[in-house]
Formats: sequence, C-alpha cells, structure tokens
Amino acid sequence: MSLISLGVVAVLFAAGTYLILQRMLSRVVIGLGLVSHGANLLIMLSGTRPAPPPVIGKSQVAAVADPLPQAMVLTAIVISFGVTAFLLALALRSYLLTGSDAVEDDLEDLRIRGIEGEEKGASA
Amino acid sequence: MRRSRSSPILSAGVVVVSGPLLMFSAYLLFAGHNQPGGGFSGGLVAGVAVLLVWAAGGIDSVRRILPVRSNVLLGAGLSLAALTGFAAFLPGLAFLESGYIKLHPPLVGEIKIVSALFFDIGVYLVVVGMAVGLVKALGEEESAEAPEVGA
Amino acid sequence: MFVVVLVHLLVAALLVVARRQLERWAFVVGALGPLATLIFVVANWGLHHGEAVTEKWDWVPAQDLEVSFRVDGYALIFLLVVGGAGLAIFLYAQRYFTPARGPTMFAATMTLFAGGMVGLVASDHLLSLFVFWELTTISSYLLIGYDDRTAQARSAALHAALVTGAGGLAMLGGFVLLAEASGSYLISEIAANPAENSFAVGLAWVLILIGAVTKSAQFPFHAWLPGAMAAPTPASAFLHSATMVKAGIFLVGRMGTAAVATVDWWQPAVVGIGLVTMVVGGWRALRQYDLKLLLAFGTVSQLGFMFLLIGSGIPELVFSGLAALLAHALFKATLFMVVGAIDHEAGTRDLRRLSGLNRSMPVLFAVAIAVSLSMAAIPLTFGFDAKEAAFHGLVHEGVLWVAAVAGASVLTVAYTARFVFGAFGPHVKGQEPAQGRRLRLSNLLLAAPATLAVISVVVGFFPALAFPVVDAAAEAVTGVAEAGELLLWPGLGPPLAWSLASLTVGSLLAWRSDLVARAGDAVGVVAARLPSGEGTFRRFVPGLINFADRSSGLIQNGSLPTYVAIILLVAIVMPTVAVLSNGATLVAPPSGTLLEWVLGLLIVAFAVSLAFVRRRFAVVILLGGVGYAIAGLYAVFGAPDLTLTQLLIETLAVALFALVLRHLPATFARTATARTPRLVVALLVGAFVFAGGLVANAARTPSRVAETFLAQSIPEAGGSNVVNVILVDFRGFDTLGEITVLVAATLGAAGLIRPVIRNRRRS
Repeated sequence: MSLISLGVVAVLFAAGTYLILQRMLSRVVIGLGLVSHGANLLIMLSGTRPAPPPVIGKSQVAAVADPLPQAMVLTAIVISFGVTAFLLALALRSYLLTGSDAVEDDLEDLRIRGIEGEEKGASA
Repeated sequence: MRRSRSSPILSAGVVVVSGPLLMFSAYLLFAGHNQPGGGFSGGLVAGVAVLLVWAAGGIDSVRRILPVRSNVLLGAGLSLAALTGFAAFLPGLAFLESGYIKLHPPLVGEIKIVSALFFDIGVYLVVVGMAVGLVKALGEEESAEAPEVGA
Repeated sequence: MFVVVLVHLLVAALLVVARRQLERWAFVVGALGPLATLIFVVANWGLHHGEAVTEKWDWVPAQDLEVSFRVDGYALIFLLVVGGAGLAIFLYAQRYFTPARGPTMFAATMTLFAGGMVGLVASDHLLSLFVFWELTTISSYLLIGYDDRTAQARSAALHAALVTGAGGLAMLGGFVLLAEASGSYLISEIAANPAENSFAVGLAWVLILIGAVTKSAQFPFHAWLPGAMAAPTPASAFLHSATMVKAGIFLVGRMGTAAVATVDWWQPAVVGIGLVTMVVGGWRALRQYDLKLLLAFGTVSQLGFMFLLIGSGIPELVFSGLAALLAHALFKATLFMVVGAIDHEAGTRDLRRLSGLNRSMPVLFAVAIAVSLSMAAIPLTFGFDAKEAAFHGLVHEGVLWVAAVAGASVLTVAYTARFVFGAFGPHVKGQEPAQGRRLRLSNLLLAAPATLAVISVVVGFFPALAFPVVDAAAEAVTGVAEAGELLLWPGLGPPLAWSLASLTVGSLLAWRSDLVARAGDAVGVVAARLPSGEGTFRRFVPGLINFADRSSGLIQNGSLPTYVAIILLVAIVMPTVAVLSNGATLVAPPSGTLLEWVLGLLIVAFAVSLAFVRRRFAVVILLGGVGYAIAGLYAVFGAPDLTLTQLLIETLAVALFALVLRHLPATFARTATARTPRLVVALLVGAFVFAGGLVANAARTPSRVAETFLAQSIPEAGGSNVVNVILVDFRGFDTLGEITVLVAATLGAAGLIRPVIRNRRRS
C-alpha cells in the first residue's frame, strides 16, 4: 500500500468522522459514506501493490491480486449502499414529519441529568 | 425542484440507451463467472437503466416498462438464491455446494452450465429489485398533479 | 441428585403457576422438596470411606462446561440439614402464615432456595456451584424483602444481596483463577491435586475466602445477617440460621484442606476471622432486647465457631465442627421457631415486655429449655458433645487456641441465659407487659420445633447416632476416619475443665447482667466512634449511587455527537495502547505511482470540501466525485469487478441523494455543535487510521485461503473469475446473507417513506 493511498484512507476517515459528529442526519449519512469508502480502500489496499486482476488464464497466477479482499469489499460496497439508502429514508422521514432531520438530545438521558441536578441543588 | 418530465429528446435518448444497457446487464450476469461482472454489477446496470427511465418519464413510465412490483423481484431473487442452496442437498452435496455440466450443442461449441449461475441470477434479481424499490419509494412526488413543467 | 434438584424447581414452578389453587396448602406442597432431599439422604445413608454418588450432565461440552454432582459424606451432612430443617420449617410455616397473606410466592421462593442449596452442596463443578450459590443469594433477597411495603425490609434485603453478591463475584474470580491454575474445574480433582502456590493461586484463595466470609456473615461482613431478620421467621430459621449462611462454611470446609496445603496464611486467617466473629457476635447478642436479633447475633457467633473449626483443615477440628453444625441446625432452627411462635401469640419479641410465658405456654417453654441447654453446651446435650469434641481437638493444637475459643464460649452461655430468662422470666419493671392472645398456640406451630427438640435431646443422650454421619463427612474432606469422638461423658480431663470453666464464667456473667450492661455501655461509647459494619454500608451505598448519577450525568449527556465521540476515542485508545505495549515494526511504504497520486489528491480534495460545503447539490456532486475516483483506484490495483460495481453504485447513490435532498432545504442548517472538538476528534481518527494502516501494512502476509481459492476456482467451481467464484460459490453463504440484508434495507426504506409521502399528498 502506497503512502498516498494510506493518506487518502486517513483523510476519508477524518472527513467522515467530522461529518458524523454533528446532528443533521443527512450529513451524518454522507459522513458514514466517506468512512465506508475509507474502510473499503483500507481492506482492499493494505499490503498490496498494483497487480493484474485475479482472472485465471489472463496472467500468471502468482502475480495476480489477492481475490479474497476484493470479494469482501465488493460485498461491503453493495451493503453500504443498502444501509445508506435506509438511512437516507430515515433522514427524509424525520424531515417530512418534524421539519428537521437533526437528532435532538435524548429525553431519557436528559432526565437522568435532571435528577442529578436536583440532588445537587438539594444538597447545596 | 422543477424538472422536465416529458422532454422528447430525453425520452428518445433513454429509449435508445436503455436497450443496450439491459443487454449489457445480461451479458455481465452470464459472463461474470469467467470475466469481470456477475450478479451484482449486472443488477446494478439494470438499476441504472431503471433510473434513466425514471428521469425521463417519471414513476409512471417505470411502471409501464417494468410491470412487476419491486417486492416481487426481491422475493423471487432471495428465494431463487436460497433454493439453489437447498438444491445442492439433492445430489447429496452440502448447502450451496456447486456443480457444473458441459453441453455440446451443435454450432455453438462447448457450453458449461454452472449451478452457481442460478444463485447469481438470484443476486441479480435482488439488486434490480432494490434499485427499482428505492427509486419508486424516494422518487414519488409529493403533489398528485402531473409534472409541472413541459406539459 | 438431578431428580432432587428438579423436584424443587418443579414444585416452585407449580406453586407459582397454581398460586390461587394452592394457597391453603402452599407450604405442604413446598415441603415435597425437602422431603425429596431427605429421601435421597436416607437412601444413601451408608456413604463413607470416600464413597460418592456422582452424576454428570454435559451442558456445553465444547467449553468443558458441565453440571456435575458428587455427593460424598460431606455433602450428605449438609443435605441432611437442608432436608431435615427444611421439612420441619415448611410444616411450621404452613401454620405460621395465614392464607390471607398470600404466602404462595413465599413458599415458592423457599422451595427454590432449598433447591439451590441442594445443588450447591452437591456440585462438583466450580461454575455450577457458583450458579447455585447465586440462586440462594437471589432467593434470600426475595425472602428478606418479602414484606416489600416496609422500607426497612427492602433496605435489609438490598444490603444482604449486595454484600453476598459482591462476595459471590469475588469468589467467581477466585474459582476461575484456581481452576485455570489447577487445570480442572472439578472440586474433587482440585482437592486431590492442589495447584502449586503462585501469585494467581494465592489471589484465588483470597477471593474464595472473601466469598465464604460474606456468605457466612463473618466479621467484618457480619452486619447483613441481623438486618436479614426483617424476613418472616420461617425464612430466618431456614436461610439465616440453618442453611444458607452455612454455605460459606461448606465452602471453606470443602476447599480448606487444599488451601491449607497451598498457602500458609489460610489457617491463621480462617481461625482469626472465626474467633473475632465469635466474640463480636456473642457480645452484640448480649446487648439485644429483641429476641430475634439476639438469636441472629448468636448465629453470627456460632457461625464464627464453625468457620474456624471446619475451615482450619485440621481433621479433629473439622470433625467437631461438623458435629457442631448438626447441633446448631437443631437448636437454632428450633429457637427461631420458638421466637416466631412467641411473636405470633404474644405480639412482641421484646424481652423486657415478655414474662411468665413458662406458665401460659408450658410446652413451648420445655422445648426452648431443651434446646437452649444444647446451645449453651450444658453437659448431656448434643451441643455439649460437639463442643467437648472441639475442645479435645483444640487442646492438641495448643493452650492458646482452646483458651480463646473457651473465652468466646463464655459469651454463648451468657446470651443463652439472657434469651431464656428474657423470654420466660419476669418482665422488666417499668416496661409495659405484653398483652398477647396467648394460649392459642396451635399444635402444628408447636409440633415442628418440638420434634427437632426431641431429636436434639435424643442425639444428645445417644451421640453414637450422629457419629457415622459426622465421621463420614469429616473423612470425605480430610481423608482421616474417626478423627474425633462424640461422647455422652468425655471423662475427666482438660477438655471438660475448659467446658466447665466457660460455663461457670458464663453463668456469672448472666447472673450479674447489670455489670455486663454497664460494661457494655462503656464499650458502646468507644464502639460508637469506630466504624461499624452497618454504618459503613449505609454510607457506602448512597455514595455509590450518587457517584453513578454524577458520572452518568457527565458521560451520558443525551447528545448523540458526544456519544459517538466517546465511542471513537475509546476505539482509538484501546488498540493504540495494545500496539504500543507490544511494539510493532514499521516498514516505510512506497510513495505510489503517478496515477495513484492524481486520483488520491482528487479524493482528498473532494472529501475535505465535503466536510465543509453546505450547499446540498455541491455535496451530491462531490460525493459522486469521491466514489468515481475510488473506482479508479480499484482499477489500478487490479480489481475490475470492484471498479465496475463502485461506478454503478456511485451512480445510483448520487441519484438517491439527489432524490432525498430535493425535499430538504437548499443548504444545511448550521447546528449548535462545537466545531473545534469535532475537528480534534476527526483529526485524531485520521491519524489513528494512518498509523494503524502503517502497522497493519507491515504485518500483512499473503493469505493461504487466497492461494486455495486461486487453485480450486476452475476445478471445483468451473469459473475463472475468482472474485465472482468466491461470491457465488466458496463464500456463497455470506452472499446469501448479504442479499437478505439488501432486501431488508429496501423494504425498510420504502416502508419508512411511502406512507409519509402518501399522507402529505392526500392532505
């Protein structure tokens, strides 16, 4: 794996993470897409160098690229598409129903914080 | 978002392009065992064709061209793939274990039929069903009226 | 043995299912459990010389997990106690509860407990022992908290469950360490070949001892037992005096010989803990006014006595400890039932208000006297026979041992006297005498304690009756037969002298109880300044809960980005620590071909702008750009299938995004999420992936699987595109799973959107 492709993977992860770490569901989906691109590239490329495709009969068997990560990544590409579609639908539904696709703070968690605040207030 | 639905040039172009696209899709499916391709890429090509049809004529033309509900495609594909797996029990093989037979019809030369092909067809159907289902679900218009522009 | 445990579980289940129908006869039905235990004991009465009944059931054979029962003489004596005391107490409880109070669930829990206890003492596998151990803890919790409307019962139940539960967890850790060191989870094998001493083994023994100490209410964890007296009396008599609290003693006896052979601190520790517990329990018993609490502290003291004898691993002491165990089960269960009867009839347990019960309840009085004599170890009783055997053994160990135990026994004599005179003597002046219904003592309420008392007296006169059971039990764990004797009259000698001495001093203490009270007040002034068991626990629990509130309020603030950030940071830190502590070799990678650089820089530019661009159609285009460029990279690395798939998928994905985003506003709204922390976490993730990629890159070896796939592709699957062959053939099952996911995702997405859009169109 070359320096530049590793760099690409790292940038994909960083940009994806930056997008995931906020509240708009539609941007979170984009971030997830970037991260899965990065992960696919990482699996596919680590430890390899450019090589002919693993199709028997076209080139020397010893020289061809490793077919196993290719098969796994192919699966992963399609799966992440399916998941992306589902998440997009989720974001759209949230927008259509509530007028926003932002993920609000969890009410139950806020309640727990509230309990703690009350206790602090009572003891103070 | 206003979009021309029935632009004659686009429609004509789609008709011209979608035929070869579907043929390419079928080629990828059947050649996939030996060349790059396979059920996934074949199905996706067909999905892109569906997308083009939608862009040109909207949901209705997708329904006209492909009168099958997407859920039927999904179900048929999944069942075919699973049945291929179970069929391997008949000759006493393990689940999904594959076999192949060679035929020698005149003129064509040797044709090899691999049982895994049926599995790949199942994959193909699922992928097409996914593309159609998503385009239909997300491509539906909010307003009941016909497309606004270009009428 | 399985049958016996099963009977308990089935009876408990039956009681729960048919609780309405069985309301009147709940405890009679429940008594079937102890009855089954007793039948088993009788059927295997003659077990000795290391014989054992074993049964095994493979639970998870691959994990070497099995439920393995092994009943030897030692288990049998505990089964005798569980079955015998159980039967008596169940019949007693039948009368103790009025059906109106809905005692069926109580009976079911007691039966469940009895089953857990039977499984515990019969288990040979450490893990099944643990499971049954926890079953008794849980049922004890339910029984103590049976009266769930009173806060005191709830908090006492929680206290008991937390202390014994924490001890049980410690014990589980000890079990695992010990079993890994010994190479076996079977107690019989561990006892036969104790593991060599090492740090892990030493720690294991400490943890196991903690488990036993908490369960048997030994100092400093004794405080939960008096609290447990909030339970209805049948539960107190059964769990908290006769059986459950003896589980810890069972454990130290079972493992004591092996422990003594491995670690040299075991014997002093066990003896020291037992002795301190004897003194603390006895002293606290002398200060109680509630008869039940007096008995509870007496139990703590007696448990200390048995703990030090049975845990010491010295054959003669183990022998006498087991005799004391039988004697204690007989007299303490009886006394609890007597107190229950008094409470039931007189309406109070306060010994200052009770008086003259010897006239109004003569039979109960006789029963109480008979077993109290045994508790105080007055000659010609079973308690005396056992204690005499203990003194006989202790004299051999040294004068200090016997003096300490005799000293502690003084307290036993004194609190027994306090109990008897308190309950049946004149009431204290200035206290309002109890106004009970009295004299309406039903026969059944009396029959059970009376039966146990008769057995206690008979065995006291004919100790040879108990000898075979005790001897077989002692032999099973120490390997020494006839280590001690049970004699009606031991003859003149040092043991008798020690017995008489403690009796005399104890009687003196009882006679001048006002002096004790004054000394007690003086000690109380000092003791109030020392941390007490109850006090520590009461402060500990709210502190812990408060800490949990604060920490979860801090970590779990309800914000999704915070949660994701925490997860990501943990995911970064853990592997980094692992890699740094193990070291890794790094190989400088080649910089890459020109084509790679071109595509790579494109992707970087697109990805970085994606993170900051807010116009949504720019986003769609940039996203497509990333995907197409990546497809190009795949082509460079010899993956035409991936290139094809990536190109097509990207086309569909871009269309999908466009379809969805057309509903949303033209630009993404700014949200309140802080930018800098996001950027820091994002950069950390990027750096981590970069470093991780370097490490993984250097560590990757060509996969053998791939070679097989390449070689087998044509002969086995008849295809030359190996990637496709892997997908549809070699790993076809995975693909089947994958397309299932695709179907589910499509149906889900359509199901989420269609109804919403249709609704909007209609309105």
